Amino acid sequence: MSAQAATLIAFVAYLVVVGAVVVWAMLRRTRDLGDFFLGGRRMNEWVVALSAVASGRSSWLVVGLSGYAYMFGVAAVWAALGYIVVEMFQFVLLGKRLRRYTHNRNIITVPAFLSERLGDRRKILIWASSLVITFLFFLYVSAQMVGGGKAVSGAFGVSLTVGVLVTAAIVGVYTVLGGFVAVSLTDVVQACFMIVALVVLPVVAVFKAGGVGALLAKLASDEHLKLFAQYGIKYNPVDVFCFGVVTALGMLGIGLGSPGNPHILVRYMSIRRTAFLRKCMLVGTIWNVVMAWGAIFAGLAARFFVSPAEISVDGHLDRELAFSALARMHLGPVLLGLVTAAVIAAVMSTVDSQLLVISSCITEDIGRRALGRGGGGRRLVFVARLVVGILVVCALLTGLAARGSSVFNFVLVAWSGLGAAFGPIVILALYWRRLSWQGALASIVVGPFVTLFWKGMGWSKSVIYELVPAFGAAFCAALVVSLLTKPPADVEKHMQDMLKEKMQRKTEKEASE
Amino acid sequence: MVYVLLFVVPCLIICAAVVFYYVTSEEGED
Repeated sequence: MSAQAATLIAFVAYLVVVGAVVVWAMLRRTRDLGDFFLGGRRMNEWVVALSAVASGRSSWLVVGLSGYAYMFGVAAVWAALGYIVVEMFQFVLLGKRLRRYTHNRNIITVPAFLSERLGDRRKILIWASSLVITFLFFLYVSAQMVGGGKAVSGAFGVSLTVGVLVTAAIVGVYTVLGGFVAVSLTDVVQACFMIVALVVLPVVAVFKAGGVGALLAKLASDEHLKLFAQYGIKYNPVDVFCFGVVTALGMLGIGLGSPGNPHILVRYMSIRRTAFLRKCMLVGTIWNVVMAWGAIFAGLAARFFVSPAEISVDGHLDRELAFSALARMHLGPVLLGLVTAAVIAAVMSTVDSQLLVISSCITEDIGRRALGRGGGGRRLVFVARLVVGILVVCALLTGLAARGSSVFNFVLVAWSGLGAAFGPIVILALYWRRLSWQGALASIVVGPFVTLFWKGMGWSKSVIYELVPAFGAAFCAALVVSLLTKPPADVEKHMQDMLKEKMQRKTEKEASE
Repeated sequence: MVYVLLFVVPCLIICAAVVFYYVTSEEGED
């Protein structure tokens, strides 16, 4: 069997599983937007844990992090450490309060949470947060469409345009039809495919290299270092600070993006019982650790086996090709097919979640809350599905227009912009009574501005990753402006709603129906 | 240091998660 045929079979198997999940999700009742965007808050702990971590990572984990390890060696661990630790605490410290509050007040989106918590009567905050999320996520989704297109095109030998069309068609169909339930359940399927890719491949490759000791010894040898230096890679792969302590700290700063990315936060809001978030934390952290170290070992093994010449295109080294080059070298056709499907699955698990968040911003936050356009629950669900469909087409066209640009540049800018805009105020809204809507607005403006300015000045490479200064500036802006403005009214009632669960019995009764 | 990052750090994170799981339990939660 040829490699391409095996890949096709594995991909079709993946689509069959996804299709079955979507049909199952469609059989569940979708009465209102809460059902469509949060699965009626009936998700179990395994689904929330795996969908939160899988949708947070995208193909950055599989090909991006392994590419870092190929380029920088062991120092790539710094890129993983930050987000793993932040998300470990986030599940419990942010997740519990967010779930209780949004459940008690029947809120289904992050902008609506901020607006309600901070007494945003003029609807300025809900407009600003919805527009910023929509804009940055639209960039993110368009870039991911290209990422998915590249994976499909590389696997099946079709053009990039066809690859992007296939990605958009698959994600569009199951997101429109199945909503949050289908998206979360497919995330679990996708997380399982990613486990195959990031456990099997590194284990096989490190074993063939003669073990970790032999692998590291070769990477540190003069001959090997000289070979890579010819291609401009002068980093010593066994030096854990090969790019300096400041850059390592900047890589840790990637984790600051997690509290501000709404597609991760809504997962916590969807869980059936708040108490389950502790177990989610445990499952999610173990998955995060196994996947990250799998990607790093895959990158190190790629540096052992794959010469820079093999992954250079037109004389330019593309480190993100290292993972697939290693897979082609060491896996049989069937496993190679599964690994390729995993890369595509990794892209789709993020795109679908983000499409739903954008649709929720447009339908629930702008349409229903800001403009007061209502209607029956089912009518709104129809509008939400329509918005997802339109978004898929728009993101597809944008992705095709920008297909020459680097996927990960867009992804990292969007991740930073959202993390800086919303991370500080989500944390402060949950823990600081004094935060005002004006303070939150300042963070939403300052965060993305500093991100783009820092990136534009080229300081991301020469000084530190843009999210670190942007998060700090947005945090300070929120603090200072809040202290200079009037505090929100009835703050104690809001804080109580974060600490106590009302309507618990009703929810359990609904869940058992 | 290389081996610490490759093997000790992931084990420490998982241990920390287990400890955090027990530390954050509330009465009657489970």
